[in-house]
Amino acid sequence: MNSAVFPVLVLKLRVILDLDGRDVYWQMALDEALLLMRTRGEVPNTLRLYRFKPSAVTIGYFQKISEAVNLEFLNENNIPYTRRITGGGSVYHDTNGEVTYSIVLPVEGVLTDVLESYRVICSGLVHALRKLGAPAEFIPVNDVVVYGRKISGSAQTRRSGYLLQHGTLMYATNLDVLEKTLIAPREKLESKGVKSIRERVITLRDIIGQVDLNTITNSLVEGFSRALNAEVYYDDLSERELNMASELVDKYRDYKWIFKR
Amino acid sequence: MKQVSLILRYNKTVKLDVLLSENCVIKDIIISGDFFAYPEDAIERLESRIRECSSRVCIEEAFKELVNTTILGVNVEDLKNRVILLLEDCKKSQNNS
Repeated sequence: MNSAVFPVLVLKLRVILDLDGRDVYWQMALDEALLLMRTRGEVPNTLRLYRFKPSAVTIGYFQKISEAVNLEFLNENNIPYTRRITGGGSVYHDTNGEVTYSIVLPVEGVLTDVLESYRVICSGLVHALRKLGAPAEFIPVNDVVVYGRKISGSAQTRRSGYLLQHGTLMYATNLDVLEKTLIAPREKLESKGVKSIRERVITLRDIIGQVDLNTITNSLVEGFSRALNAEVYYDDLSERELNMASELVDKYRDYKWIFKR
Repeated sequence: MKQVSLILRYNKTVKLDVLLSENCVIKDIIISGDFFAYPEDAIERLESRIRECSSRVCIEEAFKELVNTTILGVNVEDLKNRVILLLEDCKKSQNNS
């Protein structure tokens, strides 16, 4: 078919820059709220960029908390933590060194296959990083690496024909703190050919020097727009979204949820 | 009761924590790790189906719970065989004692 006659549909993508920072319970609740509201047709396809304030840790849905994070260190240093609704591994979210994205989209077309959807969405991160001068590449299932070291990890869940994917971009994460907060099984480190978590990760600052957050978020928006062939427009969170997140936030503070495994 | 733990390295890491009774019945199992499952609750249903299993057939039936589940980062066939092996090892050591 002639694409001039049948143009490729361009996805409309609402972008929310939510960078002032809020705590880990709120951020996880808001991500879940956006997914639930998207399944009900109450919000459009949305990309949200945000930060955790204070710095915090999240663990994957299937992880045993005592084996994924250093609870003693987190408690001693008042670093809050919670469990995500998405699988994957534990993450240290540094207020001043990491920006998180979350995106809600319909499961259709190239996003139908789970593995392919990770590749497509993560290519937004790859485009952004390359634009910033870091030779990034996607490593399945869910990592983006530069020089073989992880700079970004993503995790996805699906509900009623829609997906939520959220993930990190470490631009200046304090890797000393990261190493103290997270636990990686020896087997996992060995399989990556490293001896410590520190050896496995890298930040944007390590690669191209200091970059301001504005430049990074602009690159991310452009990167996701390109990856999804999306036309973006900027917006703010609505009262209804904030209300829904308020209803969900207690779940993420609940020890029964956090210590579920 | 006997507690057995096993770390399995696939693309992702899986830890099996299995609690076996004296007569080799699986009283509890937790499958944890940094893997992905769609839908996520299939793993909880699988754990629940494995509880009280004391035979290979029972475990094989339980794993049918994952038929419509996409699991990323885990070799499900190998995982199933590891659970069966734990059960069979228990039975062997029971017979030897």
